[in-house]
Amino acid sequence: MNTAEVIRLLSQRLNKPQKEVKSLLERIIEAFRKVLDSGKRASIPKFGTFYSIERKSRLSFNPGIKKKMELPPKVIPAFRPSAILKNKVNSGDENEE
Amino acid sequence: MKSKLSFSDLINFITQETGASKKLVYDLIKELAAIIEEGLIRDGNVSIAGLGSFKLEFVGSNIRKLPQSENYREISEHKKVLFRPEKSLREFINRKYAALRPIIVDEPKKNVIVKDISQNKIEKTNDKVIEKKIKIAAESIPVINKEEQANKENRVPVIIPISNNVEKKTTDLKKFVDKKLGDQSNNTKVYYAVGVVILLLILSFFLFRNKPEIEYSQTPQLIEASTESGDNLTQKPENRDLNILPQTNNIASHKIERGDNLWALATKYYGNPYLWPNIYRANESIMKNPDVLIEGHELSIPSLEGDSKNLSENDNYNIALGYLKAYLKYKELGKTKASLYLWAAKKFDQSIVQKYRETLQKRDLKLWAHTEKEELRIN
Repeated sequence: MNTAEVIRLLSQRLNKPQKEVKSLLERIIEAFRKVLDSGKRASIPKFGTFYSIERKSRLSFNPGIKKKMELPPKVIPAFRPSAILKNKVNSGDENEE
Repeated sequence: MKSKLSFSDLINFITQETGASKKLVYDLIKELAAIIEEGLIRDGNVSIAGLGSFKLEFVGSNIRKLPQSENYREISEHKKVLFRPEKSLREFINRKYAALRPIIVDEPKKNVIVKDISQNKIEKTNDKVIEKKIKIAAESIPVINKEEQANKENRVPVIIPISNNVEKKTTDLKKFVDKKLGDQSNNTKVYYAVGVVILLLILSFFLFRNKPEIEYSQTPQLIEASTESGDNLTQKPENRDLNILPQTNNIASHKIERGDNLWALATKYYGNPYLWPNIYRANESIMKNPDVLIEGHELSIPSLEGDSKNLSENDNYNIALGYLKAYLKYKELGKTKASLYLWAAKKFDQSIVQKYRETLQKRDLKLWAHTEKEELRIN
């Protein structure tokens, strides 16, 4: 499933034109990005939590040049699904079978 | 600081950012979550531009140990929801670290070299000479005074500082010795290479030495032809033709039995095993190899004019011819002992070798030349 399909489904369910839904979705995603950038955890009930992990700088060995390297720190955006979503995903599979 | 945004806070934040109504934002997020869920169940993969992609991954059943207990728990196979953030999102969040790049960390090399020398080189080679060299070299370093050093600094830019302890000197010297060792190892390689070249030369020498056998293998044919024309014998050796064999009467014919050899037959019929080439000469057409007798074949044993102890000229000539034929055959077979038979032929009759000199291998003729000279000297 891609973004176009998501927008189409959203416009159907919200009874809104796709253009409007698309612009709104883009703005919401932008807001999500800002939340993740701020380092806060944003949770959506029955779905999951978006958060970001900070990784410190570390020493690593580069096998290509055979030298030790100091890698800079970085932030990784992450998502933790809720138990309900996990169950649904797995139960949905069982129902299909 | 990290803090958790509740769903209501999130909606409030988004409404502030987007300017849309709370209800619309709420409905949209709820629907969005529902659609992602449906998409995951249906396709197993949902991608949203600007955010990332959600994916389902299959995890097989496995057994895990429960923490802080000795019990194990079997985890059944299930599907795991994975989220892979989009590159733009990762770059957006990491923009404060965008200028940073991985830095190569240089390690202190000196310590490594010292370790190599002290542990690996000396221990492995286990060479006391190296240690002695280090000690001698350390002692031989002149202790430079500060004034001398100041004078020398102008000439030589790099001088080992005196203030440093002896260890530093020894480490530098160890490096020097290590280099020397490296040179030695290179020298050994050169020696190995030279050794291989010499071996190749020796091999080629033997190969070329054996090559002319092909040329000389033709000569027995001449002699074979001569055996057929053995009737034209002249009694005087001076008048004998090269290709004509002296006629001899066969005293007996011998049927080859298992375990027979020419040496034994010569002792049996002549009483002297060294006369075996006489038998070979007479039966050359049957025999392909003087060393091999085929069971059941009949050999003709030629008679001797004289006694085994007092051989006549013809006997000597015949035996010499037999030795010569044996020499040629062994040459043809590529046996190194062939030249011995040429020497033996010379012993019995010098003239036969001189007559066949052109067809014989010069190398073999030269081989015994020095022994002849020595014999002459003795005589």
